[in-house]
Amino acid sequence: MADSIPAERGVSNRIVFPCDLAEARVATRVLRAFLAEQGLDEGEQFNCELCLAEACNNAVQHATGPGAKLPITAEVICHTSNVELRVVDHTAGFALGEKPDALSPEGENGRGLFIIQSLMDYVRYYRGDGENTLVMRRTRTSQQHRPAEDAANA
Amino acid sequence: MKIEHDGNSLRVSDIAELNAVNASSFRDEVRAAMPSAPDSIEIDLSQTRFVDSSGLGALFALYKAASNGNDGVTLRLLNPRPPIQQLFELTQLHQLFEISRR
Repeated sequence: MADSIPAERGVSNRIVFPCDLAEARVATRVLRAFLAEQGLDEGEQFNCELCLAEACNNAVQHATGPGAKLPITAEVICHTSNVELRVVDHTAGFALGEKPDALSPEGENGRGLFIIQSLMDYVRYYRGDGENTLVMRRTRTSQQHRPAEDAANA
Repeated sequence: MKIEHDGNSLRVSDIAELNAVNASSFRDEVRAAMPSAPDSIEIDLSQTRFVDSSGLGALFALYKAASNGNDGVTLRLLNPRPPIQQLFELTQLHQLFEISRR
């Protein structure tokens, strides 16, 4: 996928939450419900929710010092052709390498980035001064708008 | 979450999620309930709507605890929902656990 996408209208939802795993989980559930409302199917919803959760969990678990007191921002932007997920963290940042070809099933940790890079078509990590943004995009396979009530009951 | 013993076998069920918030407590609770040399460990995922990498890590930890010096143990993940089964296959967890449907 190219680094720039044609300008098209998108519908977005953004949640700012405290640097806490339980708060992160609430935020990703809410954003999943938003994605359901935008017509993504169950599989797409799960994959996006999972990638958001992985990114948000990393943002919480790797925040240190003053960064651990700052809130984290998670956002989804639904375009007609793709969905974009963004997580802004206040960690020291990390180097986003290439996705390994395969993952060993062994080990209690270290699967989060592999999952994100496997499920998303486009992943970039923009590092700044005390603030970094993980951008993830995936081409949509379903585009049906569902009434909010149906999505909430899904 | 429900944990049941049947002789030297263990069955875990009624798990809503395995995520970064509860993965450690899930792992510790099941590990504490595990017989010293179990014949089988079954984890019923039919009610489980979400698993993340922390949940996968907890499952791996239980695999290690159950199989340590105990090559004959059967480890099963029952009835995972399709997106979760795909996650297991993506992360190769299906090489450690038998995934089956009942």
